[in-house]
Amino acid sequence: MSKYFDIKLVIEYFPQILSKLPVTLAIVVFATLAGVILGTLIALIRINKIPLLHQSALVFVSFMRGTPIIVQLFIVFFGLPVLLKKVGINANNWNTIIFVIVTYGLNLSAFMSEIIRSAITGVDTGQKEAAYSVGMTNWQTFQRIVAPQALLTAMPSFSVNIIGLLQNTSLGFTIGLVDVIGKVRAIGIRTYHVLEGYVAAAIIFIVLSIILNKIFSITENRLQAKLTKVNR
Amino acid sequence: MGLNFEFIWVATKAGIACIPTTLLLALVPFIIGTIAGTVIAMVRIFRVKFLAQLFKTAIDTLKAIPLILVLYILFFIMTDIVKNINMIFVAITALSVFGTVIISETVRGAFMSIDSNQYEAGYSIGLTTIQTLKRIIIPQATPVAVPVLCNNLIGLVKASSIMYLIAVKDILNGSLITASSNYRYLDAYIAAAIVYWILILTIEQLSRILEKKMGRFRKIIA
Repeated sequence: MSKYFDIKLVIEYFPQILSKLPVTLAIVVFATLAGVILGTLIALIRINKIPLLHQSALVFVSFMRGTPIIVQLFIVFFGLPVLLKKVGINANNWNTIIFVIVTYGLNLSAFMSEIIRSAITGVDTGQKEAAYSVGMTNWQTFQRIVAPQALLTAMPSFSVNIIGLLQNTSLGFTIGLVDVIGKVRAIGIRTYHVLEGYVAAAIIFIVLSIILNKIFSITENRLQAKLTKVNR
Repeated sequence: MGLNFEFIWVATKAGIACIPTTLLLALVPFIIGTIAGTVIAMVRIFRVKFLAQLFKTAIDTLKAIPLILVLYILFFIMTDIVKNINMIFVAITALSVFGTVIISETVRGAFMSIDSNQYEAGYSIGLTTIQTLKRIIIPQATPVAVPVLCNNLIGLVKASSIMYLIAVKDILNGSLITASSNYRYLDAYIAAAIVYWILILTIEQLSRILEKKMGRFRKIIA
Protein backbone atom coordinates (compact mmCIF):
# COMPACT_ATOMS: atom_id res chain seq x y z
CA MET A 1 0.00 0.00 0.00
CA SER A 2 2.72 2.45 1.03
CA LYS A 3 4.25 2.60 -2.42
CA TYR A 4 0.89 3.60 -3.87
CA PHE A 5 -0.08 6.10 -1.26
CA ASP A 6 2.15 8.93 -0.18
CA ILE A 7 0.54 11.49 2.10
CA LYS A 8 3.11 14.10 1.04
CA LEU A 9 1.77 13.94 -2.50
CA VAL A 10 -1.74 14.78 -1.27
CA ILE A 11 -0.34 18.07 0.00
CA GLU A 12 1.79 18.57 -3.09
CA TYR A 13 -1.09 18.05 -5.52
CA PHE A 14 -3.60 19.98 -3.48
CA PRO A 15 -2.89 23.48 -4.92
CA GLN A 16 -2.95 22.18 -8.52
CA ILE A 17 -6.27 20.44 -7.96
CA LEU A 18 -7.69 23.43 -6.08
CA SER A 19 -6.87 25.64 -9.07
CA LYS A 20 -9.67 23.86 -10.98
CA LEU A 21 -12.26 24.61 -8.31
CA PRO A 22 -13.66 27.63 -10.24
CA VAL A 23 -14.74 25.23 -13.01
CA THR A 24 -16.77 23.18 -10.54
CA LEU A 25 -18.23 26.30 -8.93
CA ALA A 26 -19.12 27.82 -12.32
CA ILE A 27 -21.11 24.69 -13.19
CA VAL A 28 -22.96 24.83 -9.87
CA VAL A 29 -23.80 28.54 -10.21
CA PHE A 30 -24.89 28.54 -13.86
CA ALA A 31 -26.74 25.23 -13.68
CA THR A 32 -28.58 26.46 -10.57
CA LEU A 33 -29.61 29.67 -12.34
CA ALA A 34 -30.79 27.76 -15.42
CA GLY A 35 -32.49 25.14 -13.27
CA VAL A 36 -34.41 27.65 -11.17
CA ILE A 37 -35.58 29.73 -14.16
CA LEU A 38 -36.59 26.74 -16.29
CA GLY A 39 -37.98 24.91 -13.25
CA THR A 40 -40.22 27.86 -12.37
CA LEU A 41 -41.45 27.95 -15.96
CA ILE A 42 -42.26 24.23 -15.91
CA ALA A 43 -43.96 24.55 -12.53
CA LEU A 44 -46.16 27.39 -13.83
CA ILE A 45 -47.03 25.35 -16.92
CA ARG A 46 -48.05 22.44 -14.75
CA ILE A 47 -49.99 24.47 -12.19
CA ASN A 48 -51.96 26.32 -14.89
CA LYS A 49 -52.31 23.09 -16.92
CA ILE A 50 -51.51 24.78 -20.25
CA PRO A 51 -52.54 22.21 -22.89
CA LEU A 52 -49.79 20.43 -24.84
CA LEU A 53 -47.02 22.14 -22.85
CA HIS A 54 -48.40 20.48 -19.73
CA GLN A 55 -48.08 16.99 -21.23
CA SER A 56 -44.62 17.71 -22.64
CA ALA A 57 -43.50 18.96 -19.22
CA LEU A 58 -44.78 15.73 -17.63
CA VAL A 59 -42.74 13.58 -20.01
CA PHE A 60 -39.66 15.79 -19.65
CA VAL A 61 -39.74 15.69 -15.85
CA SER A 62 -40.34 11.94 -15.85
CA PHE A 63 -37.39 11.36 -18.21
CA MET A 64 -35.04 13.57 -16.23
CA ARG A 65 -35.99 11.86 -12.98
CA GLY A 66 -36.05 8.37 -14.45
CA THR A 67 -32.64 8.18 -16.12
CA PRO A 68 -29.10 8.41 -14.71
CA ILE A 69 -27.48 11.82 -15.06
CA ILE A 70 -24.42 10.33 -16.74
CA VAL A 71 -26.63 9.02 -19.56
CA GLN A 72 -28.23 12.46 -19.91
CA LEU A 73 -24.78 14.04 -19.97
CA PHE A 74 -23.70 11.90 -22.92
CA ILE A 75 -26.99 12.36 -24.78
CA VAL A 76 -26.52 16.14 -24.54
CA PHE A 77 -22.82 15.86 -25.40
CA PHE A 78 -23.45 13.81 -28.55
CA GLY A 79 -26.96 14.98 -29.34
CA LEU A 80 -26.81 18.76 -28.92
CA PRO A 81 -24.31 19.31 -31.77
CA VAL A 82 -26.46 17.13 -34.07
CA LEU A 83 -29.54 19.11 -33.10
CA LEU A 84 -27.82 22.49 -33.47
CA LYS A 85 -26.40 21.53 -36.85
CA LYS A 86 -29.96 21.29 -38.15
CA VAL A 87 -30.47 24.99 -37.36
CA GLY A 88 -27.05 25.86 -38.79
CA ILE A 89 -25.00 26.24 -35.62
CA ASN A 90 -21.69 24.42 -35.39
CA ALA A 91 -21.24 23.22 -31.83
CA ASN A 92 -18.45 20.74 -32.46
CA ASN A 93 -15.74 22.94 -31.02
CA TRP A 94 -17.67 24.20 -28.03
CA ASN A 95 -16.05 23.96 -24.64
CA THR A 96 -17.20 20.84 -22.77
CA ILE A 97 -18.26 22.96 -19.81
CA ILE A 98 -21.21 24.23 -21.89
CA PHE A 99 -22.53 20.70 -22.35
CA VAL A 100 -22.12 20.02 -18.64
CA ILE A 101 -23.99 23.20 -17.69
CA VAL A 102 -26.79 22.46 -20.20
CA THR A 103 -27.23 18.91 -18.88
CA TYR A 104 -27.19 19.85 -15.21
CA GLY A 105 -29.39 22.87 -15.83
CA LEU A 106 -31.98 20.69 -17.57
CA ASN A 107 -31.70 17.96 -14.96
CA LEU A 108 -32.02 20.39 -12.07
CA SER A 109 -34.98 22.14 -13.70
CA ALA A 110 -36.98 18.90 -13.56
CA PHE A 111 -36.34 18.49 -9.85
CA MET A 112 -36.82 22.22 -9.19
CA SER A 113 -40.16 22.25 -11.01
CA GLU A 114 -41.46 19.54 -8.67
CA ILE A 115 -40.23 21.40 -5.59
CA ILE A 116 -41.66 24.74 -6.73
CA ARG A 117 -44.95 23.17 -7.79
CA SER A 118 -45.53 21.36 -4.51
CA ALA A 119 -44.47 24.44 -2.54
CA ILE A 120 -46.91 26.70 -4.37
CA THR A 121 -49.83 24.27 -4.35
CA GLY A 122 -49.02 23.51 -0.71
CA VAL A 123 -49.97 27.02 0.40
CA ASP A 124 -53.42 26.88 1.98
CA THR A 125 -56.18 28.10 -0.38
CA GLY A 126 -57.63 30.05 2.54
CA GLN A 127 -54.57 32.30 2.33
CA LYS A 128 -55.32 33.13 -1.28
CA GLU A 129 -59.00 33.72 -0.58
CA ALA A 130 -58.09 36.04 2.26
CA ALA A 131 -55.87 38.03 -0.10
CA TYR A 132 -58.57 38.24 -2.76
CA SER A 133 -61.12 39.29 -0.15
CA VAL A 134 -59.06 42.37 0.75
CA GLY A 135 -58.97 43.28 -2.94
CA MET A 136 -55.52 42.07 -4.00
CA THR A 137 -54.99 41.19 -7.64
CA ASN A 138 -53.71 37.79 -8.75
CA TRP A 139 -50.14 39.01 -9.00
CA GLN A 140 -50.23 40.82 -5.67
CA THR A 141 -51.58 37.69 -4.00
CA PHE A 142 -48.83 35.58 -5.49
CA GLN A 143 -46.07 38.04 -4.74
CA ARG A 144 -47.08 39.05 -1.22
CA ILE A 145 -48.88 36.02 0.19
CA VAL A 146 -48.12 32.81 -1.71
CA ALA A 147 -44.50 33.24 -2.80
CA PRO A 148 -42.98 34.01 0.63
CA GLN A 149 -44.67 31.00 2.21
CA ALA A 150 -43.79 28.74 -0.70
CA LEU A 151 -40.17 29.87 -0.56
CA LEU A 152 -39.92 28.75 3.04
CA THR A 153 -41.29 25.26 2.34
CA ALA A 154 -39.10 24.91 -0.75
CA MET A 155 -35.82 25.88 0.92
CA PRO A 156 -34.82 22.52 2.49
CA SER A 157 -35.36 20.49 -0.70
CA PHE A 158 -33.69 23.26 -2.69
CA SER A 159 -30.55 22.94 -0.55
CA VAL A 160 -30.52 19.16 -0.87
CA ASN A 161 -30.69 19.43 -4.66
CA ILE A 162 -27.93 22.01 -4.95
CA ILE A 163 -25.63 19.85 -2.83
CA GLY A 164 -26.59 16.91 -5.04
CA LEU A 165 -25.68 19.04 -8.05
CA LEU A 166 -22.28 19.80 -6.54
CA GLN A 167 -21.61 16.07 -6.24
CA ASN A 168 -22.89 15.36 -9.74
CA THR A 169 -20.41 17.82 -11.23
CA SER A 170 -17.83 15.14 -10.43
CA LEU A 171 -19.05 13.22 -13.49
CA GLY A 172 -18.02 15.98 -15.91
CA PHE A 173 -14.63 14.38 -16.47
CA THR A 174 -16.29 11.55 -18.40
CA ILE A 175 -16.82 13.90 -21.35
CA GLY A 176 -13.36 15.40 -20.97
CA LEU A 177 -14.05 18.34 -18.68
CA VAL A 178 -10.98 19.38 -16.69
CA ASP A 179 -12.53 20.17 -13.33
CA VAL A 180 -11.29 19.05 -9.91
CA ILE A 181 -11.55 15.36 -10.83
CA GLY A 182 -10.37 15.89 -14.41
CA LYS A 183 -7.24 17.51 -13.00
CA VAL A 184 -6.62 14.55 -10.69
CA ARG A 185 -6.73 12.24 -13.69
CA ALA A 186 -4.42 14.49 -15.67
CA ILE A 187 -1.91 14.41 -12.83
CA GLY A 188 -2.39 10.64 -12.58
CA ILE A 189 -1.48 10.12 -16.21
CA ARG A 190 1.70 12.12 -15.76
CA THR A 191 2.88 10.70 -12.44
CA TYR A 192 1.08 7.35 -11.96
CA HIS A 193 -0.10 8.69 -8.61
CA VAL A 194 -3.84 9.06 -8.76
CA LEU A 195 -5.05 7.84 -5.36
CA GLU A 196 -3.46 10.84 -3.60
CA GLY A 197 -5.25 13.13 -6.01
CA TYR A 198 -8.60 11.48 -5.33
CA VAL A 199 -8.09 11.89 -1.59
CA ALA A 200 -7.28 15.59 -2.13
CA ALA A 201 -10.40 15.96 -4.29
CA ALA A 202 -12.49 14.24 -1.59
CA ILE A 203 -11.21 16.77 0.96
CA ILE A 204 -12.18 19.62 -1.37
CA PHE A 205 -15.69 18.23 -1.78
CA ILE A 206 -16.12 17.71 1.98
CA VAL A 207 -15.11 21.32 2.70
CA LEU A 208 -17.36 22.64 -0.10
CA SER A 209 -20.32 20.67 1.27
CA ILE A 210 -19.76 22.04 4.76
CA ILE A 211 -19.63 25.62 3.41
CA LEU A 212 -22.74 25.16 1.26
CA ASN A 213 -24.64 23.57 4.16
CA LYS A 214 -23.71 26.49 6.39
CA ILE A 215 -24.85 29.04 3.78
CA PHE A 216 -28.17 27.27 3.32
CA SER A 217 -28.90 26.92 7.03
CA ILE A 218 -28.13 30.61 7.61
CA THR A 219 -30.38 31.62 4.69
CA GLU A 220 -33.15 29.38 5.97
CA ASN A 221 -32.97 30.83 9.47
CA ARG A 222 -32.97 34.41 8.18
CA LEU A 223 -35.92 33.68 5.92
CA GLN A 224 -37.83 32.11 8.77
CA ALA A 225 -37.07 35.03 11.09
CA LYS A 226 -38.14 37.55 8.47
CA LEU A 227 -41.39 35.78 7.68
CA THR A 228 -42.48 35.19 11.24
CA LYS A 229 -41.84 38.87 11.95
CA VAL A 230 -44.14 39.83 9.06
CA ASN A 231 -46.84 37.47 10.30
CA ARG A 232 -46.93 39.08 13.70
CA MET B 1 -25.59 11.84 -38.49
CA GLY B 2 -29.23 11.22 -37.71
CA LEU B 3 -30.69 8.58 -35.47
CA ASN B 4 -30.79 4.99 -36.63
CA PHE B 5 -33.86 3.46 -35.05
CA GLU B 6 -32.97 -0.04 -36.10
CA PHE B 7 -29.69 0.24 -34.23
CA ILE B 8 -31.36 1.85 -31.20
CA TRP B 9 -33.56 -1.25 -31.00
CA VAL B 10 -30.48 -3.52 -31.15
CA ALA B 11 -28.81 -1.51 -28.37
CA THR B 12 -32.02 -1.48 -26.33
CA LYS B 13 -32.20 -5.26 -26.48
CA ALA B 14 -28.57 -5.48 -25.39
CA GLY B 15 -29.38 -3.14 -22.51
CA ILE B 16 -32.43 -5.16 -21.48
CA ALA B 17 -30.29 -8.31 -21.38
CA CYS B 18 -28.13 -6.59 -18.76
CA ILE B 19 -31.00 -5.58 -16.44
CA PRO B 20 -30.17 -8.45 -14.01
CA THR B 21 -26.69 -7.01 -13.42
CA THR B 22 -28.07 -3.54 -12.73
CA LEU B 23 -30.67 -5.01 -10.37
CA LEU B 24 -27.93 -6.96 -8.58
CA LEU B 25 -25.90 -3.75 -8.28
CA ALA B 26 -28.91 -1.96 -6.82
CA LEU B 27 -30.56 -4.63 -4.66
CA VAL B 28 -27.53 -6.07 -2.83
CA PRO B 29 -26.37 -2.61 -1.69
CA PHE B 30 -30.00 -1.80 -0.87
CA ILE B 31 -30.24 -4.79 1.48
CA ILE B 32 -26.81 -4.16 3.02
CA GLY B 33 -27.66 -0.47 3.28
CA THR B 34 -30.99 -1.17 4.97
CA ILE B 35 -29.40 -3.39 7.62
CA ALA B 36 -26.36 -1.19 8.27
CA GLY B 37 -28.40 1.99 7.90
CA THR B 38 -30.95 0.84 10.48
CA VAL B 39 -28.21 -0.06 12.97
CA ILE B 40 -26.55 3.34 12.47
CA ALA B 41 -29.88 5.15 12.75
CA MET B 42 -30.69 3.28 16.00
CA VAL B 43 -27.33 4.12 17.49
CA ARG B 44 -27.86 7.77 16.64
CA ILE B 45 -31.47 7.92 17.85
CA PHE B 46 -30.68 6.33 21.20
CA ARG B 47 -27.51 8.44 21.47
CA VAL B 48 -25.20 5.53 22.27
CA LYS B 49 -22.09 6.99 23.85
CA PHE B 50 -19.14 7.59 21.51
CA LEU B 51 -20.62 5.48 18.66
CA ALA B 52 -23.38 8.00 17.96
CA GLN B 53 -20.89 10.81 17.50
CA LEU B 54 -18.60 8.58 15.44
CA PHE B 55 -21.41 7.54 13.08
CA LYS B 56 -22.66 11.11 12.73
CA THR B 57 -19.21 12.28 11.65
CA ALA B 58 -18.74 9.30 9.34
CA ILE B 59 -22.14 9.75 7.66
CA ASP B 60 -21.74 13.51 7.26
CA THR B 61 -18.28 13.04 5.76
CA LEU B 62 -19.23 10.24 3.39
CA LYS B 63 -22.35 12.12 2.32
CA ALA B 64 -20.14 14.95 1.10
CA ILE B 65 -17.87 12.78 -1.07
CA PRO B 66 -19.15 12.12 -4.61
CA LEU B 67 -19.78 8.42 -5.32
CA ILE B 68 -17.24 8.45 -8.13
CA LEU B 69 -14.46 9.34 -5.66
CA VAL B 70 -15.61 6.67 -3.22
CA LEU B 71 -15.56 4.22 -6.13
CA TYR B 72 -12.07 5.11 -7.35
CA ILE B 73 -10.54 5.18 -3.87
CA LEU B 74 -12.10 1.77 -3.08
CA PHE B 75 -10.96 0.52 -6.48
CA PHE B 76 -7.32 1.26 -5.66
CA ILE B 77 -7.51 -0.20 -2.16
CA MET B 78 -9.40 -3.35 -3.18
CA THR B 79 -7.33 -4.15 -6.26
CA ASP B 80 -4.23 -3.71 -4.13
CA ILE B 81 -5.42 -6.18 -1.50
CA VAL B 82 -6.88 -8.79 -3.87
CA LYS B 83 -5.27 -9.25 -7.26
CA ASN B 84 -7.66 -9.83 -10.16
CA ILE B 85 -10.69 -9.02 -8.07
CA ASN B 86 -14.00 -9.18 -9.94
CA MET B 87 -15.03 -5.59 -10.57
CA ILE B 88 -18.58 -6.35 -9.53
CA PHE B 89 -17.38 -6.67 -5.91
CA VAL B 90 -15.78 -3.24 -6.07
CA ALA B 91 -19.00 -1.86 -7.55
CA ILE B 92 -21.17 -3.48 -4.88
CA THR B 93 -18.88 -2.26 -2.08
CA ALA B 94 -18.96 1.34 -3.35
CA LEU B 95 -22.72 1.27 -3.81
CA SER B 96 -23.17 -0.31 -0.36
CA VAL B 97 -21.33 2.62 1.20
CA PHE B 98 -23.54 5.00 -0.78
CA GLY B 99 -26.67 3.01 0.13
CA THR B 100 -25.84 2.85 3.83
CA VAL B 101 -25.37 6.62 3.97
CA ILE B 102 -28.67 7.49 2.28
CA ILE B 103 -30.73 4.76 3.94
CA SER B 104 -29.47 5.53 7.45
CA GLU B 105 -30.76 9.08 6.93
CA THR B 106 -34.11 7.73 5.68
CA VAL B 107 -34.55 5.42 8.66
CA ARG B 108 -33.48 8.12 11.09
CA GLY B 109 -35.92 10.56 9.52
CA ALA B 110 -38.77 8.06 9.78
CA PHE B 111 -38.09 7.41 13.46
CA MET B 112 -37.69 11.11 14.23
CA SER B 113 -41.09 11.76 12.63
CA ILE B 114 -42.73 9.79 15.46
CA ASP B 115 -43.58 12.02 18.39
CA SER B 116 -41.57 11.38 21.56
CA ASN B 117 -44.89 11.15 23.43
CA GLN B 118 -45.36 7.79 21.75
CA TYR B 119 -42.25 6.41 23.44
CA GLU B 120 -43.32 7.88 26.77
CA ALA B 121 -46.79 6.39 26.42
CA GLY B 122 -45.21 2.99 25.78
CA TYR B 123 -42.91 3.28 28.80
CA SER B 124 -45.70 4.56 31.05
CA ILE B 125 -47.75 1.40 30.61
CA GLY B 126 -44.69 -0.67 31.47
CA LEU B 127 -43.40 -1.71 28.02
CA THR B 128 -39.66 -2.22 27.64
CA THR B 129 -37.72 -0.28 25.02
CA ILE B 130 -37.78 -3.25 22.63
CA GLN B 131 -41.51 -3.75 23.13
CA THR B 132 -42.20 -0.05 22.59
CA LEU B 133 -40.20 -0.10 19.38
CA LYS B 134 -41.79 -3.28 18.09
CA ARG B 135 -45.40 -2.56 18.94
CA ILE B 136 -45.69 1.22 18.80
CA ILE B 137 -42.85 2.94 16.98
CA ILE B 138 -41.95 0.61 14.10
CA PRO B 139 -45.55 0.13 12.87
CA GLN B 140 -45.88 3.93 12.64
CA ALA B 141 -42.43 4.60 11.21
CA THR B 142 -42.68 1.98 8.45
CA PRO B 143 -45.33 3.72 6.31
CA VAL B 144 -43.27 6.92 6.56
CA ALA B 145 -40.06 5.15 5.52
CA VAL B 146 -41.36 3.02 2.65
CA PRO B 147 -41.85 5.72 -0.04
CA VAL B 148 -38.46 7.23 0.78
CA LEU B 149 -36.82 3.79 0.73
CA CYS B 150 -38.26 3.25 -2.75
CA ASN B 151 -36.70 6.56 -3.77
CA ASN B 152 -33.41 5.36 -2.32
CA LEU B 153 -33.64 2.19 -4.40
CA ILE B 154 -34.24 4.29 -7.52
CA GLY B 155 -31.24 6.40 -6.51
CA LEU B 156 -29.16 3.22 -6.31
CA VAL B 157 -30.31 2.07 -9.76
CA LYS B 158 -29.31 5.42 -11.22
CA ALA B 159 -26.04 5.54 -9.30
CA SER B 160 -25.14 2.03 -10.48
CA SER B 161 -24.81 3.42 -14.02
CA ILE B 162 -21.40 4.91 -13.24
CA MET B 163 -20.06 1.38 -12.70
CA TYR B 164 -19.51 1.18 -16.45
CA LEU B 165 -16.39 3.25 -15.70
CA ILE B 166 -14.80 0.21 -14.02
CA ALA B 167 -16.06 -2.07 -16.80
CA VAL B 168 -19.00 -3.71 -15.06
CA LYS B 169 -21.41 -4.88 -17.75
CA ASP B 170 -24.61 -3.23 -16.56
CA ILE B 171 -27.41 -1.69 -18.66
CA LEU B 172 -25.29 1.25 -19.77
CA ASN B 173 -22.24 -0.83 -20.65
CA GLY B 174 -24.40 -3.47 -22.35
CA SER B 175 -25.89 -0.84 -24.67
CA LEU B 176 -22.54 0.85 -25.28
CA ILE B 177 -20.73 -2.33 -26.28
CA THR B 178 -23.02 -2.64 -29.31
CA ALA B 179 -21.79 0.77 -30.50
CA SER B 180 -18.11 -0.09 -30.30
CA SER B 181 -18.04 -1.31 -33.90
CA ASN B 182 -20.01 1.47 -35.60
CA TYR B 183 -19.45 4.42 -33.23
CA ARG B 184 -23.17 5.21 -33.00
CA TYR B 185 -22.77 6.25 -29.37
CA LEU B 186 -25.67 8.71 -29.32
CA ASP B 187 -28.02 5.90 -30.35
CA ALA B 188 -26.56 3.60 -27.71
CA TYR B 189 -26.96 6.20 -24.96
CA ILE B 190 -30.56 6.84 -26.02
CA ALA B 191 -31.18 3.08 -25.87
CA ALA B 192 -29.69 2.91 -22.37
CA ALA B 193 -31.84 5.86 -21.31
CA ILE B 194 -34.99 4.06 -22.54
CA VAL B 195 -34.12 0.91 -20.59
CA TYR B 196 -33.36 2.85 -17.39
CA TRP B 197 -36.51 4.91 -17.80
CA ILE B 198 -38.74 1.86 -18.12
CA LEU B 199 -36.99 0.09 -15.23
CA ILE B 200 -37.35 3.09 -12.93
CA LEU B 201 -40.99 3.72 -13.90
CA THR B 202 -41.67 0.07 -13.04
CA ILE B 203 -40.05 0.45 -9.61
CA GLU B 204 -42.06 3.66 -9.08
CA GLN B 205 -45.27 1.82 -9.94
CA LEU B 206 -44.45 -1.02 -7.54
CA SER B 207 -43.69 1.55 -4.88
CA ARG B 208 -47.09 3.14 -5.39
CA ILE B 209 -48.82 -0.23 -4.95
CA LEU B 210 -46.81 -0.87 -1.80
CA GLU B 211 -47.65 2.58 -0.48
CA LYS B 212 -51.35 1.95 -1.03
CA LYS B 213 -51.09 -1.27 0.97
CA MET B 214 -49.21 0.60 3.67
CA GLY B 215 -51.90 3.28 3.63
CA ARG B 216 -54.46 0.65 4.47
CA PHE B 217 -52.20 -0.52 7.29
CA ARG B 218 -51.92 3.05 8.51
CA LYS B 219 -55.68 3.48 8.67
CA ILE B 220 -55.96 0.49 10.99
CA ILE B 221 -53.51 2.14 13.37
CA ALA B 222 -55.41 5.42 13.31
